[in-house]
Amino acid sequence: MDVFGIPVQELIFSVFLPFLLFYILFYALLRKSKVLGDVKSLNASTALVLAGIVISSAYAIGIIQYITSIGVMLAIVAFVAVFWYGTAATAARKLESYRTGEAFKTEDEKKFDKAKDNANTLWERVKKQFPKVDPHDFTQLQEQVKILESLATKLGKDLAVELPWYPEYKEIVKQVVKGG
Amino acid sequence: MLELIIATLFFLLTFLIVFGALNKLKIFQNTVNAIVAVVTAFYSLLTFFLFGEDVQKVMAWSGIVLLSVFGIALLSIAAKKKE
Repeated sequence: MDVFGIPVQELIFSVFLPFLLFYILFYALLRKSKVLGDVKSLNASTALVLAGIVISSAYAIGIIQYITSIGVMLAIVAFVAVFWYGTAATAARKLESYRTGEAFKTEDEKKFDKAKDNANTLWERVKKQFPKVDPHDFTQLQEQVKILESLATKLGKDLAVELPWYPEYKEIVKQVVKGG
Repeated sequence: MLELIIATLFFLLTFLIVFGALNKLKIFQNTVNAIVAVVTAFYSLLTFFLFGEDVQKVMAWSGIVLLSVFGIALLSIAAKKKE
């Protein structure tokens, strides 16, 4: 079957699909660069006309088959790149977690490690501010230490060993309570 | 027939780009922008009738270059993310 003297298959694969690809590319470029401002309709119509010119020019001078070939190659490259990146990244992440022992940890142990990191960071901040401590930072530190205390009891860990600053922190808390 | 379509598209393209740029720059009013864009588009149409074949070649090859650049960018972004 022919449409305007062009076989339907050729019309779809050599004209319509490359046109669609160019339209999307031009539209994305125009929107990202904001060369013509942020007006959607103007960007869309410019992209439409640009894609139309490129495709009809390529068809007129007879190099449309190059565009089709590059389009197909592009699709394969995109698929391979995304698949390769996804598979490689997941495999690397898994291997790393096995190497560090993260994969063998229970949920509570993971929570403990996270809270420990947070508490260490907060403690460093609070220590720098001492004696004029920001109440917001101190409250956050107290929350993290509370989580750590409950998890340490569950996991049978000694907080004084895990957090070298824990006794000093307790002293400060006592002073704060005494001072009101 | 194809020549006529390309000429029309070329006219439209020039009109849209000039109109968009003038609107963004906000030098004149909206109607003045449209008139200036139409006149510029007619001038570019005249150029198209003089150098139509060359313009077609440039547009078609620039499309191929754009596609190639897009493919290379895609690969380099994927490679960077993998690092």
